[in-house]
Amino acid sequence: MKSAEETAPIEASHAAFIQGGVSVIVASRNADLVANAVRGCGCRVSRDRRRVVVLVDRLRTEILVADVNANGQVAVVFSQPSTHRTIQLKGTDASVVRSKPSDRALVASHREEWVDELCSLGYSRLFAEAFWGPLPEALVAISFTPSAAFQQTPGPAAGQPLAS
Amino acid sequence: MALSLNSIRACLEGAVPAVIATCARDGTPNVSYISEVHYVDAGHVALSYQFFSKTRQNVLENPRATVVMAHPETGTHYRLGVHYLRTEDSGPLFECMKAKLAGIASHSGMTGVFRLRGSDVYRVDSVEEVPGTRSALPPSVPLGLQDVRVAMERLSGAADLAALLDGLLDELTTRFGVSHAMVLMLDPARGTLYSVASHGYPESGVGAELRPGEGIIGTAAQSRTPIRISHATSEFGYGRAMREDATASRPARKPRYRSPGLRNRRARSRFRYSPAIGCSAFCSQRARRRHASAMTRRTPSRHWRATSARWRPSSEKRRSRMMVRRASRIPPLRRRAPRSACVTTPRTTACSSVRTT
Repeated sequence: MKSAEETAPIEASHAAFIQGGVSVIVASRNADLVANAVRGCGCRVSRDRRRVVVLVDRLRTEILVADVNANGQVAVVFSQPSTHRTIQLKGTDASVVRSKPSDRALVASHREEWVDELCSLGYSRLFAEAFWGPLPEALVAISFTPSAAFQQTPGPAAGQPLAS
Repeated sequence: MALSLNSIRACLEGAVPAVIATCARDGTPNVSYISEVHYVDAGHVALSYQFFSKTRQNVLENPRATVVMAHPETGTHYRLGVHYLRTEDSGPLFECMKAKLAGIASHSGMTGVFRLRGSDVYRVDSVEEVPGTRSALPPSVPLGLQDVRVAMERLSGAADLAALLDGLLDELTTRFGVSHAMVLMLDPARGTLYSVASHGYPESGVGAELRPGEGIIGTAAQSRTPIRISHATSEFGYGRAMREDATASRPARKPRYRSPGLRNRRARSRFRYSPAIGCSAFCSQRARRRHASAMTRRTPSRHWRATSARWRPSSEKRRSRMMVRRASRIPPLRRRAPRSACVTTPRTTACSSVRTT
């Protein structure tokens, strides 16, 4: 019988990737089927890789939280700027949950890694920090079970299901 | 104050990748990166259609979408409410976007592999700032028409080609902040573009040749379309990602063109925010006509053939000598050139520049 990790929707390498200093974009949609997206500020994956939590600055989430609460639909894209390696996870059971005290450190670490990544591409640190934004005063945590995962690195294979 | 597309025009230069959020008919959202949102006019933008992606499938089913983009200098985020209207597969918009894609493809050794199938045109219904993203960084002061007018007046007064080229490079550097530039002309007899002047590179590259269609410069010249690679590193990385994704089915071609002064592809991609590898050159109508006439009459001199075979050393003195020799083949103007000036399509000239801020 396979363990919970072995049957998880995302494999360990993907889990490590999305918890690194990558860009996180969180999208949902409203009742009129109009999608909206905001930039997230970190991600954590449960030990069995069955649950993903994305963190977003509360100031940016007015529309997103309303949409997630209304229908639970979410799509999150993770992309590494230097390589354009990109994957997308989707969920249908998303909900807003309480953030953990440790999330603030996670977000600070994400900011640092992401800014370093952008600087390595030639952007100035000043710009990279402004682009990421200041450390959020309040966080919103959106938790979901990945129901589908796709490769989205630019090219003909973009959109193919992610092998797990 | 309500925002308009024109008020956030800098966001549409492709310096920072944007994202588009769409929704399928069954209610499943999708979010995807887009390398550039192409400005069409004050009420419309266009996205490239290269592959039949989920985004495209969604907008064909449900045309309403949201684009999120960032200001390339301040980092402030903006949200566009857009509505898919149509796909164009010919015409100026399509040709411009096609040339740019071809430039990126050639830059990463993928000439002919990635092609633009169409330009997806969207109406912009709303523009708003994303709450909580306003940055304290100030945007730069945009260049105005006044700067262009003053530059053109100076170039119109150039008495010969050498003065014109010197004036052009000087104006690009001092007035427009373009720190790297080169001017190329077409040799119709040999069917090649050759570099006649450059500025900012460790090696001048004067005398370098490339064929129309090769690399970004050659692609711009061949298609007579300005191409702006807005962030060289980003575009290079995008091309590399596409190549790695495609090499399973087809081996990548090695790029055949060279860039003077930049020793390898990695070096060429290591620019900071750089809103221009552009490809328009401007010169006085008279000088351009004279030069075109001279080039159709004459075959390149022996000296030219000898020196064009390899990259030239960088010394400004050598560059000046070269330019004078080249210019001497063109009859000098007998009277002052007319004050009117033109912006040429790159039929006879192409200029590549990288601006750093």
